This record gives sequence, structure tokens and C-alpha cells, in this order.
Amino acid sequence: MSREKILEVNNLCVSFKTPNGLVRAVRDVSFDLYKGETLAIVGESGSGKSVTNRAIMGILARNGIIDGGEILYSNQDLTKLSEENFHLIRGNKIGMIFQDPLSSLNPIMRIGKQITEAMLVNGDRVKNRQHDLYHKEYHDYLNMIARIKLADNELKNRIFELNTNKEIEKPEKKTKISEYKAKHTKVVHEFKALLPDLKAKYLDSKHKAVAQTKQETAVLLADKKEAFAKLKLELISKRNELKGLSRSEERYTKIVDEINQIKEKIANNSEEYTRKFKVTRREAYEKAISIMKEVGIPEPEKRFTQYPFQFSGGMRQRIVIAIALTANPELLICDEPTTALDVTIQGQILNLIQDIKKERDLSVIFITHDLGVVANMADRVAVMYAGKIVEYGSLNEIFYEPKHPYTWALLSSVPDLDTKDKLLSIPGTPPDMLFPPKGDAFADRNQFALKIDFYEEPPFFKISDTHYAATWLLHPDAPKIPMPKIIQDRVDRFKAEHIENVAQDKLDLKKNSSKKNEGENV
Amino acid sequence: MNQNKEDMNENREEILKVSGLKQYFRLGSGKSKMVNKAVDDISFSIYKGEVFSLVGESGCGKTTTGRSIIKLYQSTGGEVYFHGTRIFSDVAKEKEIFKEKKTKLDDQKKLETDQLQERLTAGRVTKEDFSEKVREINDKYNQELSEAHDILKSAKRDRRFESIIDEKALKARNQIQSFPEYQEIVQKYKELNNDLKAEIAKGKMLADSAELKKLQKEIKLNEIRQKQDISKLKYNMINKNRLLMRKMQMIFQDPIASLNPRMTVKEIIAEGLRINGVKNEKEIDERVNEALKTVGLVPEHASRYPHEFSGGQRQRIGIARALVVEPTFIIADEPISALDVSIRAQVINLLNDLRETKGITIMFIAHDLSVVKYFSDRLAVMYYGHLVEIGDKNRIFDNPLHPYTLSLMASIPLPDPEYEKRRGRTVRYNPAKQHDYSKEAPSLREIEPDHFVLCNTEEFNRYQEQLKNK
Repeated sequence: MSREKILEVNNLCVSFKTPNGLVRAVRDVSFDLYKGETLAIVGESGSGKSVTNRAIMGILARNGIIDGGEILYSNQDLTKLSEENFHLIRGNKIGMIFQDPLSSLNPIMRIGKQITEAMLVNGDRVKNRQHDLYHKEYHDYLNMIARIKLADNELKNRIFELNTNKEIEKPEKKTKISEYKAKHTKVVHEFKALLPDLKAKYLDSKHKAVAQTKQETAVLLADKKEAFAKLKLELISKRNELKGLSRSEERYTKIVDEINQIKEKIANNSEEYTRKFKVTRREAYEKAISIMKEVGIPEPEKRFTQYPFQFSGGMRQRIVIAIALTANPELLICDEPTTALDVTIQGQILNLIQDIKKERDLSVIFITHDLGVVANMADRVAVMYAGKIVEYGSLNEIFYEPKHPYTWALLSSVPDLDTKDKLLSIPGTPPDMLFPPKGDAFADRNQFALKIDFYEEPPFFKISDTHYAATWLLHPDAPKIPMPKIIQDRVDRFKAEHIENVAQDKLDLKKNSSKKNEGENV
Repeated sequence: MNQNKEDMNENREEILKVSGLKQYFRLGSGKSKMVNKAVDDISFSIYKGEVFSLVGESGCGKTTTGRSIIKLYQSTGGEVYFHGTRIFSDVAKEKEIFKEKKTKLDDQKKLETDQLQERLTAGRVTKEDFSEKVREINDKYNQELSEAHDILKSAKRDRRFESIIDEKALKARNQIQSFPEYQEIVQKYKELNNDLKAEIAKGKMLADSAELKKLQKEIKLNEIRQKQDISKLKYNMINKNRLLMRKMQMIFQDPIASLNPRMTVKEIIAEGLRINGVKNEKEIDERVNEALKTVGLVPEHASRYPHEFSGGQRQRIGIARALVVEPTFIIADEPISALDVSIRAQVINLLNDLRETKGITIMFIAHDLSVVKYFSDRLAVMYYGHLVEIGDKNRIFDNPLHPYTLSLMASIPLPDPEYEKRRGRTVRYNPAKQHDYSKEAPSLREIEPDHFVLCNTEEFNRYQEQLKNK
């Protein structure tokens, strides 16, 4: 495909350190995201869908560690970035909308301030320019430091993992630990050798950048001074003119008007010039109002000074979206944005996200457990279970030809408007990820499980170019098991409706065109 | 076909009747004082064995309705009948009726006495006759007034229905021996013990043998059981109202918040039994285990704490707690919206089974219309304290008429990508734009059998046109 890949996740593994050992939340997840598409990640709670996206945003909990894999975004591996470097991406390039709009807004801060806050904080243009100039060298240096830290952390995690593993004997542990340590010191040594050179480069470029920006600001200030001096001269001359006149004369009022105009001009000019140095309050206000209009908040000027509690749930979610949009992100992660909302409001928010997506050509990762919402929003769907993607494919493939038993279970556990049979519920609970199961994680709850499911993990089987599923049922030697009846019925019904609708559309079109023709004939 | 259905409807037993229920909340103080009309004058009935759904967006008052019915709130007005007995009364309304009646009676009395006085002064009646007549009038007046007052009094009593003790039964408690139920219990245990005693007399057991001890113990136990049964009988006689109220139970939305984290599952489930006067530990154990089994848990779970369970299991504990007192009517307040997709089906299937096996009537409060359509027999759509459409499920889903119902239905996302593509934008219901009630206020009107819509005459005609054209 010729489309531009915006994000690539390869073999990502995330674990959480707990007193009982490592909880493997995400195990070997890979997916790509293309520009302008929506990828939906579906799964029940605890399947690791939120954790994956928090890893992409770099906001894992403190005990969370990235075990392996990489997240490639604009030629950078996000798992190896320094925190300072991540600041430039998080929020600015990748925006996120959280589930609960009430808890993601500050209750004692006016809405307007919350929307403009990021703009004002990041608004020092001189500094930003300076940063841009020496940004590459600086972050090369910081990333190297971060890599040393990461190496340290990895050593710690490895030792932790060893210590919590009860299967390995003590002497073996010792040798392994010393092995790790040797490897670690070697790596760190390599890195440290590179450091001084990087630092020198960084400092050098920084000095250059500072000098350059100083020069630029001096030019700007001179410009400003000149312009102001001109205006002030004008002002003084007008005032001098006034002196000889009495208040009753017509000319007097005219000149007063002119003076006021000049004063206004001075104020405007000064604002314009400060805009060159930093984002002013007025600028932030104007931008906030326009974004609030974009996300469909009526009377934004009035709403600007209100508090979150004065907004309804849907409006609050709109504010959260507005805040995410202020930085012009190109990737938006929506973590169950409508779960806390009502059906009618859910529809509005989904429409809004779709509109924004089209307007700004955003790529969206949409996390949800509501399959109806997925059907509405997504271009592609990934189904996650127990930290793994078990099936992914295009929207129609997942909904009309699901292959994985877990996808079947998810689809059959929600009634649609014409369901009359008993719902198929998924028995049992998801596995404890402290001890990830050996074979297919879903085998215990799967009524179609094969023997092999219990001791060997299934690989991805290709169904079509875009459709893959990890289940042994697709192996050529496996027995052919058809979709459960409830889903098959539903798909048949939907398809029949669809054909009917298309036929109806054609009829309508014909009617319309024939009418048109008649009109032309007459 | 239709005729048959209507006949059936008439034969249905009304289990709950709500008429004119109001629930206002007073908010703020001083200048910002206001009244929030969460539920404003709604009426409906629920029939035996059906699932009745209450649908609406959050904040429309559907949960408040459920809580008012089960008397978690002291309602502002309206009446609720449960199994034909009034469990909640409209005191303010009764007071007004009483006042009216009193003024009417006063006027009548005055008129009659004045007429008599006239006749006395005219000399048409003797003094004795006069005093006789006056007494008659007074008696009649007093009697009618006291009757009216009794109605008011009973209304006042029904306001705190569940806590009222049956005073007549309280007096009769001393002569409990004369009740047939009492005699039955005594007879039952007498027979049991006689059998045991006969066995002892018949057998040639050694004085210290285990068998003999066992029999003697059994006799003693029977005596204790008889005492317990009698105390239960006394309790049931006195707390008739409470017995009725326990036939109504509620399942709450959030399975985490509604279970006490410091109580074991057994304590949680048994609490209702204990409050309702069950003291026998063995019986409590049995009933708790049975309730756990009905909801698909095992008796071993009884000694655990709520945090050891998953969301679906916790909701099952909530259901078991409601089931243990053997209710006939359950109010399920969004029992599945806090649950994960995979568990929702479990809970819906469980509720469905309960309805089929135990004949429990369910009032299902929800905002997910696809679940409602799957699960319920009749439904009511609520919008900001008012019912806008109520009736048979199929009729409403086939011919939704009120614009709010339409907007609700249009906003259900379905797991069908083609449908989702075709589905247009959801139109938000805006009452100010979509109705013109300046000339005539709306009321609930029957558009077709068992299908009521909130509308005025003009809309009523329009809706009927729509139905005919279908």
C-alpha cells in the first residue's frame, strides 16, 4: 500500500512489577497505523488494550516496564527516548482522550484556563526557536543518558525476574546474574565513552543557538522601538495641536478621536510584537474560542469562564477533546471516550470525533469494548485478549467473517435489536497474567478449544491480505468448525438487510433520475 | 389475535401500580433555592411475570423512580400499590380531600340546624323532637367526619408503611393458642416427638447407648424448633407489612459500591433474612447456599469477601442478596451497565432464567435499547421526569412515535458496519423545537391498544395517521 505509515508497534511487551512477580500485561503486540485511518482495539477489561496505548504515550505507571519491542514514530523509537524528548511528542504530536471526562478535568480551574494552559506554558517563542536550533544535538546527548538508565533498569528487571522465578536453582541464578552484569557493564561502558563527545557537540550548538536567537531578538526589539518611536512622535504632535484649541470646537473632538486611535494602535502593535516573543493571552483566547467552536460548544465566550461542574457529561468530553486538539496532534488516542456517556450523547461525540478526523486528517487509535461503536468508527479492528492481539482485519472482515473463537464470543454476547435466542456468555474469567498460560490464553474459556491449544501458542494464520487470526482452528489439519449459529444468523440477517437497502437505493436513484429526465423533457 | 391479546391483558394480575408518583428534591439555600422535579407525575402498572423496562438517558429520573417505588426515598406525592395493597400514599392530596369534605359537612350541618331552628320558632316541632333531631344531625356529622378522618389517618399510616406493626395482631398475640396455625405447629411437633418416644419405649436400648442419646437429643431439638416456629409465627402476624415489602427487592447498578467490603458474602446475603426475623442459623445457612446456587455460585464462596470476586460474580452476589428473601418483584437498576461485555450476557441470561423458573416480575432500568428489546415484554420511555411513551415492546419498537423515542432508537450502535455506514447523524431531541404545546398541554393518550404516547390532540391525530399509513 502506498499509504504513509505513521506509527509502527513491533513485538511490544509490557510488564508490571508487583510483590508477587511480573504481571505480563502486554505480550508481543505488533500493529501499524496509517495516516488518516482509525484502528479500533477491542477487548474486555484487563486485556491490555489501555496499557498498550499508555506505553505509546509514555505514561505507564511507575512499576510498569517495557520488556521488549519497539514503538516507531517518525523514525524514533519511543521506548528509548529521554523524558525531555518525549515532551515534544506527547500532547504535541500524539493527543489522548481519556475515559472519564470528569476526572480528567481540574474541578477548581476555569475551562478557559485549562484549554489555554498548555498553549501559554509552551508559548515562549524565543526559547522554542532556540530549542529548535540545538534540538538535535541536545536530544542525542539526552537519549544517550536515557539509554544508560534504561540499561540499568533492564539489569534490575532481569535480576528481579530471576529472583521471583522459583524454578531456577540458586547457583544457576548466581552465574546468570554475573553474566547479566558483565554484559551490562560492557554496554554502559560503550555508551559512556560516547558521552563526552556528544556533550561537547551539544554545548557548542547551544552556544551558537543562544547567540543566534539573541541577535534575532535584538533585531526584533529594534524594529519594535522604531515603530513605537514613530507612533509616539505622531501622538506628541497631535497633543501639541490640541493645546491651542478650546473644548467646544469641532476640531478638538476630531483630534481627540485621532489620539485615541493612535493609542489603540500602539496597544495593538505592542501586542503584535509580544506575539513574536511569546503566545499572548489574547492569542490563546482566540485560538481556544475557535477550537471550542470546532468541537461544537455553543456560546464559547460565555463557557470560557465556567467551571467543569457547570458542563454536562457530553460537553465535558468535548472540552477534553478541545484540550487534546489545541496542540494540533497528528495522532489521537481515544481510550474508551464514550463508555461513561449516554447513548444519545455517545452518538454525538462519535460524530464529532469523525468530523475532526476528516477535517484534520488525523490518525486515530480507538479503544473500546462496545462492538457497536467499533462498527461505527473503525477502518481496521484489532481484537485483544490477555495481552495479545488474537485477530485483526478490516472492519467488514471482523464483523462478517470473524475467525477467532474469542471474537465469536464477543460478538455473541451482545444482543442486537433482533436477537431472540439465548445469548452465549463467555464462561470463567480471564487468566491471571502473573502466570501467563502456556498455550492459547483463551483455551480455558473456549468451547471449541483443541488439545494443542493447551500447550502450544497458535501463530497468526493468514486469511486474507489484511485479515489474520491466531487460532489453531485455522490450521489445515484442524477440524472445520463453523461460526456459532447466533452470529451466522445475525450476519445473514444484516447482509439480507444490506442487499435490500442497496436495491432500495438503486430504485430511489432510478426514480430520481427518471423524474429528472421527465423534468428535462417537459 | 388482537382480541385474544386484550383478553389476556385483562386477565393479567397487576403486581405493581404506580399512580401520579412525584419525587422532588429541594436544592440550594437562599437565593439559589430551587426544586428539582426528578420524577413528575408518572403512572404505570406492572403485571405478574413480565419484564417491564424503564428507558431513558442519564438524569431522566428512571433510577429515582425505582428507588421511590421501593421506598428508599420519601416521595413527594402519588400512590404506589403493591400486590393490591397501598404501600405509599399521597398525604397532601388526602389532606385536601379531608378539608373539602369537612367544610362541606360543616355547611350541611349548619343548614340543617338552621332549618330546624326556624321550624322550632315557628312552633311546628316540639322541643323534645327538636333536641332529638339535633342529636341525630350531630351523630351523623360526627360519624361522617370520623370516617373521612380515618381515610386521612390510614393515608398517613401508609406513608411509613413498612415500619407499621399490626396492632390488632399485637393484641391477639396473647391468645395465640386459639389460632389454627399455632395448633398446626404444636400438633406437628407433638406427632414427631410421640413417634420418637414410642421408639424409645419399644426398643431395648442400653441406658447409655449412642442411639438412645441421639433420639433424646432429637426430641429436645424438636422442642426448640417448635419454639422457633411459634416465634416466627408471632413475628409474621405482627409484621405483615414488612413481609409484604420484602417481596420487593432491588439490584443496584454498581456491584462494587453496593456490597459492604467488610462483610463476608454470607453475612451480606443473610442480612436481609436476619432483618426479616429469621433466627435459626441452620435455616439461614441453607437459604444462603440455595440462593448462591441459583445465581451460579458455589456454597464455598459464602465465606469470602466481595473483593475476591470478579465484576460479574459480584453482581451475582447482589442478585443472590435480593433473591434470598424470596421476592416476587425485583427492581434491577442498570444491573449490567457497570459490567464488562463478556459478563453482561451472563447476568442477562441469569435474570432471564430467574423469570422463567421462579416467575419473578422484573422492573428493568436501562439505557441500552438493544438489551431492553432482547429482554423485556413492555417498556416505558422516560424523558426528564415524564413518561413519553409506554406500552408493549413490539408495538413500540415497530412503531416508535414520540420524537424522543425515535432519537433514542437512532442512536443505538449495532455491530454491523454496513448499517453504521448507512445510519445518518443522530438527531438530538429538542422538546422546544419539536413540539408546540402553547395551545394545548400534552397528556398520555392511547394510540393503539397497549401503546400510549405523550401528545396533544393535534399530535395524536398525526400519530394515528402515521399508524394507518404503515
